[in-house]
Amino acid sequence: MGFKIDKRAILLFLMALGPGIITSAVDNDAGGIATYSIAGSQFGYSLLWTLIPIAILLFIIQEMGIRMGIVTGQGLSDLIRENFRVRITIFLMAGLLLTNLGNVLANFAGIAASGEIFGISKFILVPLCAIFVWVLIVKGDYKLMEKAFLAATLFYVTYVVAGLLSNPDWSAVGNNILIPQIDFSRDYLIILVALIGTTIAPWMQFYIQAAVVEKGLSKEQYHYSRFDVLLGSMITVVIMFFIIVATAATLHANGIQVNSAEDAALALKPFAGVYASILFGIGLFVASLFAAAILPLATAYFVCEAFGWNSGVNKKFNEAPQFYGIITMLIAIGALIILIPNIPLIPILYFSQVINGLVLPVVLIMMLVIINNRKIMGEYVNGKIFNAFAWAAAIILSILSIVLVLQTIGLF
Amino acid sequence: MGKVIYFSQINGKPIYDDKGYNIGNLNDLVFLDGDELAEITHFVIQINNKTKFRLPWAFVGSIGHSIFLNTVKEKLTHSDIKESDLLVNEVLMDRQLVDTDGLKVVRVNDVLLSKIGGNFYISGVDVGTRGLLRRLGMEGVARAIKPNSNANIVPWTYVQPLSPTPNQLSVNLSKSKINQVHPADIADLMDELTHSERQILFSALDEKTAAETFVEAEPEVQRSLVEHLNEKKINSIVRKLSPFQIANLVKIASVASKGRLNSLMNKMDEKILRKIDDIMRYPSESAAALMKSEFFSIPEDYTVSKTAKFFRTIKDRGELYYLYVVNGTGQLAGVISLKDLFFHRPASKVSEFMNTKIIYVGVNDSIRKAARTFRKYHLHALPVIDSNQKLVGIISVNDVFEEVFPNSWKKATVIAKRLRGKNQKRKKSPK
Repeated sequence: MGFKIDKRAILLFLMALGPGIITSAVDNDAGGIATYSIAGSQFGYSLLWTLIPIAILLFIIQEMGIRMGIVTGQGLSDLIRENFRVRITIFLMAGLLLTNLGNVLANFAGIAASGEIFGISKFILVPLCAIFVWVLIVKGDYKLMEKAFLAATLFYVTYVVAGLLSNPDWSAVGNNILIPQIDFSRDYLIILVALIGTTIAPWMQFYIQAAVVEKGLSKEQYHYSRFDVLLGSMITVVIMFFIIVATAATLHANGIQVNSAEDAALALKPFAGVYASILFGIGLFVASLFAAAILPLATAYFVCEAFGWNSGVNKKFNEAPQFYGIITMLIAIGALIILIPNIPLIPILYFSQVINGLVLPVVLIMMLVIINNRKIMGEYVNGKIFNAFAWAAAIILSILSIVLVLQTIGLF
Repeated sequence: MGKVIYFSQINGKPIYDDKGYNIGNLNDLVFLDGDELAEITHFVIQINNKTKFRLPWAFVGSIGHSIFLNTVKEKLTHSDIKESDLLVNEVLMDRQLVDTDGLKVVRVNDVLLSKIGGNFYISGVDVGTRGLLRRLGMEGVARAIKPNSNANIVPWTYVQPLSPTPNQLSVNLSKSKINQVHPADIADLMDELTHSERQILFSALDEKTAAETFVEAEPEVQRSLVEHLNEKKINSIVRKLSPFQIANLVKIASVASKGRLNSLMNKMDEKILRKIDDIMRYPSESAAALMKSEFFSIPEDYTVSKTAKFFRTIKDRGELYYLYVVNGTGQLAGVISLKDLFFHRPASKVSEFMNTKIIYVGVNDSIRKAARTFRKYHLHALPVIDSNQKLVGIISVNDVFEEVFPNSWKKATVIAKRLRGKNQKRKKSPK
């Protein structure tokens, strides 16, 4: 039997490629990197077993997003507005706006932190990056941006290199991936919930569906797009893996605990060498910048979509005031808060985490209601087995989010 | 009872019969589409949050904080909701639509109902913030901030539904409205839509408008149309396209999918296929690739009156600037202008006064060269001749203009101002 490469199939795949990978990259933003570093430094390899379940959860949830996008040709906020009406939509959008403001803020904090690693003042770096991001979004071309973002994902290789430079104990790594080491201590559970909470966020669902619609993918490309999502989910956990391994092999092994990504980058130096430390810092900077650009844009798109406001980067400012208003507001507030001296960042980030945790279950349940509606999805509704998994995933994630909320506000 | 009322003000309200007996709540309205207005024919009542029925609107007596019927419960006649019923909640509320006057995609926040004579009609849809706040029960906020602001209403005449409805009814709704818009403007609008919206809008276009819109659309929009549209629709526009445009369509379809290409090719007869072949032969940057190979030429021995008569018999004259004269072997012999037909005696032969110093382009000349020729000699059209001096096509200044016009200029949206008749003036929205 001959093996033939179908050129058209490759073309269709390349066309479908992008949304999943970009989503995964934004997923590993400043908040993600910090969480993974803390996880690795505190618990060593013992949280590695979560990676495979997280990849599966990510895939199940994102696959539904692309399926809805391809079948309906509509964004998630479109579908939510049409099926759940004004009142619910307005609350949801307000929640999303707040949590995404928190996310933007976290990423400007990431930019500031990466500057400190290299000795650059945040008062120079943050305003520069804010202006850069604003110009990129407002004056840039979306196609060009997508390419730039795809190229930026290559920077995540720095974590792989940093992980390899740290000389991990590979047999311990292997054991911990396959055999769950559940520890019922409070700290362990908190970091477990945070790991999942930072990888599966509500904005992600809106973004991936919008990206699929924007690309105009057809049902013919569904299988390729699915592969893109699979690839994206795997990239997310591979990056998670290397950050956890790098911090576990060096910091945890030497009994050093860190509380942020910049601590981790600096602490890596004596154990994994100066290059690992630099690479870690560059990765943090690129990831933060990348997410600080994507998040405001994505937020503006889905809020405007829900309310029928003009949107799109090819519009003039006065043609789409709400669209540009949201983008500008998110970037300006996000960057300015970071520049306020002695600002209590942690409570602010916690607050956004809480809203994140409250919004996620709502979004997931709405998605499941919509995707199982035959009037909307036709033959593309969830299959029986997939649906069972999807509901299980939604319930698990909802419980974890609520635990995260309770823990954040101090009730757990 | 006021003359106008918003749907959100009656949606969900309790319904009482003549004797004050509560029968249920208003759940929806059924309407009958029309060009200017849409008549409300039925209302949908929901009983105990469960069963839904539709009742003729004629039973409604008065509308206030509740809805009072003009008869007793026992005398009401109800029927089940039909698949084909157009429901306000399902087709309009919260859905997207095209404002064919403002040329924008908007979302319906509320529906405006007007009482005219004894009947109620949908006279417009509210797409503004006022409508949004009204839905949230906070219209007072809007009034407090901007007391004199009008609601942002799109009159029903300009409403073109867009969102796919569960039963795809929007496709059957108001087909005519969007066809009043200039194809170039529809093409601009297409650029901002998602593929499913494009499909719905495109399906609502008649054959001619669809073809023109397709030609005007950005290459990317064309690609998405060919990929996603149903085959029948895309094939139906073929008849309205020039061979050059068909060749372009074929190119797009061959990238999209094999099935698309085959079904498209099956739609074309020998004649069209041969012409496409001709066009595909020329290099893509050459003037010949742009030319119209379907043109009219007249033999040398035609008289003025015979020429005029000949042109009167032609149905599709297209762009007509000059008349090209060919000799017995099809070689280009001369050119006359339409003016000449007026000023020469009907009996004189065209060869007597035709201009024989013809400015032309060759089949292998570049588009740029054609553009320079147009500019230098201030012409509207140029003949294209092959190496044997045979006339093979005509290229117009518009075809070339489209190709040499900078891309950055094309991106900027222009909506030309147009004079509008008095009766088409946009209605003032109610306070």
